[in-house]
This record gives sequence, C-alpha cells and structure tokens, in this order.
Amino acid sequence: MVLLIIVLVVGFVLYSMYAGLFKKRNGALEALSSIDVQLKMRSDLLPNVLTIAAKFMEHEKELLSSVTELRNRASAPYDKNNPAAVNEHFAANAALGAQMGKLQVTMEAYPTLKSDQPMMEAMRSYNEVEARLAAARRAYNASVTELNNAVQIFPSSAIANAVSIKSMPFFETDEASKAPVNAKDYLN
Amino acid sequence: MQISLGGIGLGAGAIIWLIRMLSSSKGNSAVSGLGSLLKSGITTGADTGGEIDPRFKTHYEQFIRPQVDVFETERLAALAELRRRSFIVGPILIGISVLALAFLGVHGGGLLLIVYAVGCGWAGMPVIQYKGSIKEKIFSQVFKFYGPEWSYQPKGLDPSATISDGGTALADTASEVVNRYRLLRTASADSNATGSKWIMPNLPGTGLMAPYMPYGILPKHDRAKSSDYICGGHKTVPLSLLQCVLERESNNNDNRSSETVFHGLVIELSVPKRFSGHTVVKRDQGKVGNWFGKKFAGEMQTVRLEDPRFEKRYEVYGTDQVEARYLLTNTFMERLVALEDMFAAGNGTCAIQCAFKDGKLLVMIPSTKQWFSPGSVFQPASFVDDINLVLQEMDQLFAIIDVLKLDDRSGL
Repeated sequence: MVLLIIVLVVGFVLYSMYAGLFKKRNGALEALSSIDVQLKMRSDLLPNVLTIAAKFMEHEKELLSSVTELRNRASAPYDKNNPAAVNEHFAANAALGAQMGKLQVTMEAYPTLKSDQPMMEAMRSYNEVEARLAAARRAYNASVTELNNAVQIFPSSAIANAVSIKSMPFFETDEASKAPVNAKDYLN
Repeated sequence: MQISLGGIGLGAGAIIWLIRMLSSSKGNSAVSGLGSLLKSGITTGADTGGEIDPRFKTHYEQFIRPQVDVFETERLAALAELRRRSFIVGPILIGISVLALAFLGVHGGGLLLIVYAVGCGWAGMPVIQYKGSIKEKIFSQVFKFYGPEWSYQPKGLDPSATISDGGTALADTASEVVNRYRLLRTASADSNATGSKWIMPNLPGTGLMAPYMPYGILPKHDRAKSSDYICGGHKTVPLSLLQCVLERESNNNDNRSSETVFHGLVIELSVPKRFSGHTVVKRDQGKVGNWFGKKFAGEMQTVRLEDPRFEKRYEVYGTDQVEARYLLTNTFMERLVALEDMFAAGNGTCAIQCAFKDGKLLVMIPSTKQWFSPGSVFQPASFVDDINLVLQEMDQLFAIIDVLKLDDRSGL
C-alpha cells in the first residue's frame, strides 16, 4: 500500500514536471508568435517609409538598399522549434532595427523629409510598432526565462532531456544598437 | 443662577467647539474661536494677511473678489445663527444630560451620543450650509481658472444612484453602463455651462461607483459616498476626479458594523496609447495573498515584470501579456514608484493602485485627508488660504500626469 502511494506521488510529481515543461515551451512559442506579429507589422510598414525616404534622400541609396536587403532577410521563414534558427531570425531582425535607427538619424539631415506629413505619419506608426515590439520582446524573454530555468535545473532538466525540450534563445538587441550613437557618423 | 448660566455657556461653547473641530481643517485655532464666540467677538475684516498665489491673482480679482463682501455677510450671519442656536441647544443638552445621568446612569451613554449629534447637527447647520455655498460658488470659479471646460460638482456623484449592491455591478453590463454614463456626463457638463443643475443618471442596479467598477480595482463595498467630482484636462490629457469613501457592512452575531475599505481619490485619465485589453496593477499581498488574487483574477493572467522594486510593491494582472508590457514600460514602472513615493512623502504611506481599460487609466489614491475643503468659518471670507490650498492640491494631482508623462506620445 505504502509502495503504491509512493509510486503514485512520484508519478504525479513527474507528470506535473512533464506537463509544466510543455506548458512553458508552448508559452514561449506563443510569445515568439507575438514577436512575429509585430515584426510582420514593422516589415509591412518599411516599404512605405523607404518609398517616401527615397524621394528625398538621393545620396543615401546605399543605406536604403541595405534596409531593403535586411528586411528581406528578416522576413524569411524559419523553424520555431530550432533554437539556432530562432537565434538567426532574431539577429536578422536586430540588424534591421539597428539599420532603421541609422536611417532615422540620417533623416535628421533632411529637414524637408522630417517635416513631410506622410513621412511623419509613417514614422509615428513605426515608433508605435517598435514600442509594441519592445513589449513583445519583454514578454517573450519572461517566458523564455521560465522555460530555460525548467530545462536547465534538475530534476526537470532530466525530463526535458528525455522529451527533447531545449532552451530557447533570448531576444536581445544587437551589439551595435547598444553602443552610443555618434551623430557625426551619419550627418557628414 | 450663576451655575445654570455657566452651564448654558459651557454647553453652547462645547457645541461651537465641536462644530469647529469638525468643520475646520485648521484645528489649532479652535480654542481662540471658542473664546471669541463666547465673548460675541466674531472676527471680521478683509484678509488674514496671506498672499494669493501669483498665478491666480488676475482670476481672483476678476471672479472671486467681487463675491468676498457677500460671503463675509453670509459668514457673519451663519456665525450669529450658530451662536443663537447654540444658546438654545446648550441648556437643552445639559438638561437632558442631567436627566439621563439621574435616571439611566452610565447606560444612557448611547442615547446621549445621539442627542448630542442631533443637537450639534442642528446648531451647526448654518455653518455647513455656508461651507457648501463656498464650494458651490467659489471653488467652481477656482476650477474655471484651469480652463472653461473644467467643471466642479462639490457634492460628487448623485447619491440617489447609490444602492446597496454598489460593489457588485454586473460585469457584462458594465461597459454599457459606462457608455451611457459618459454620454450623460458629457451632456451634464454642457448643461453646467448654461447654469443648469447637474443631472446624474439613475441607473438601476449599478451603484454610485458603477462607472469605475469595470476597472476591477475598487474594493467590494456596500455603500459609497462621494464628493468633489471634477472634470477637466491638463497638458492635453482629459481627466476626472472623485473623492469618495467606500464602506463594507459586516454582520457578526446580529451586530451590524461597517468598515471603511477605501477613502481617497479616484482619478480617471486618458492614455495616449491604443490598447484593447485590461491591465490591473494591484498591491502585492505576499505569496499567499497573490495566489488567491490569481484565483479570483478570472481570465486575467499574472504578468511578471523585470523591475524588482516595482515587483516588490505591486502584482500585475492582464488579459494580454504583451499589451501589459506595452503599457507598463520600464520607465512607466519607475514613474509609478516615484509617484507613490511622492504621495507617501506627505502621508507616511500611500498604497496607489491603477488599472488600464478602454483607453483610460484609473488611479486610486488612498488618503484620509479631506481634499478641497474650505478653511475655518472663524476666519474672514477672503478665500485666499482656501484657494492657495486648492491650487496646491491640484498641483499635486497634476503631478500624476507630469510624473507618469501621460501627455508624452513618444511611446515611453
């Protein structure tokens, strides 16, 4: 009888850990989808921004084309269950974000572009999406923290190993965007 | 004879002193007021010597100064009436006290308390009416200083809307109630401009605090009393403010008692962000309290945030994890903590709670202080001190918008 109770208790604990791991992984994947929704919105906004910017920034073609190229890379499909692919996806989007930051600073040198009504509206929408993206990133990182704690700490790590649940990467801003911005680099 | 006259004087003095203590926010002048009234020496004159806030000087000269003489006459009349009533009520109360002591002994305490309350209420009525008149006519002018769109209702929301189930308004009808309420509120704000009486919706089954119930942070209550309903805007942010007391009744062995579950300000502000969900910032109740809070949060989930200082003080629930973080940015969290510290600086502690819903932010600031209250009736009716105090209080409330930067549309 005692043995049966012990087996039941151990079974219940193991099942709770197993179910918890899947819940956490699904939570992280859901948060990842929220990021993708915002990234998609940002990606959809970019052609509009670039078209307006191209009218005024004839000398910045290189910068504009690099943004277009990064947008294509960042919008490419990826395997959500593969941490390496997710990491690569984040890196591409972080690079796009950094390049858009450069573009925004460069726009400062074009007062007519800055005061252009459609551009102002496009940038307002862009900033709104960026704010939502930052929120989605925080939600994702919170979910990933919970998942990674469960995946890396014993005894749930043993179950995670058995059912092939892996740690997921954090969505961090790229190194370039962490560095202080020197406006001179862009305004010369 | 001397003894009975002394008794009458003592009774009348006691009433005036009680009224003064109840009606004055500057309690230390109570003794001098008692003395002056017993000697019939009511203070008259223009000003107490204080200077009006320089910002308000022009508005004061234009709208307040012309009313000072009228109010001074009213004040003196109210004090004279208070004195007259006190000399009637005083001997009666003393007589009843003596009789109660003789026939009921110590058991007559409860009865005496009621008799004293009725007596003091009747004697103090002229003063209460005078103070109400200050709020009605002077304070409403003070709020017009901030803009013509500002409105002030000293009596708060209409008490006829109060019903016993105020704390349990049905959630599925809540949004409809809020919309109807807002329409009526806008209409009544317009009617104020033409001098009509404030009309509040008498919504059956909704309760006085119904417009605020959908936010989900008001404590359960059975009774609500309100005063000082103010509508206006600061730095392009529309706001409304209500001072209220929420009480809950409890029955213990047939002994009904009521407990105050909230006393303070409820402030509704517009938020310059688009959102569709519901996010609630409640006090942290410790591990066990938060666990129960989570069980009663319904469809809302706990939102874990990064700021440890914020997490220590608050527990956040939201219908959308991403949206909750969109609203509660790191900067906003810091600002909310700073705001709470600012209010706590004056009161020792201040447990602010807030909620985002339908494009608005509701902030609940508990405070035992009586906001927007006229000063002592024993001071001349220049209103300088009263106005300076109201301006100070409004500055404190505007700081909510300034500290939280609700006018900032940069997404912070």
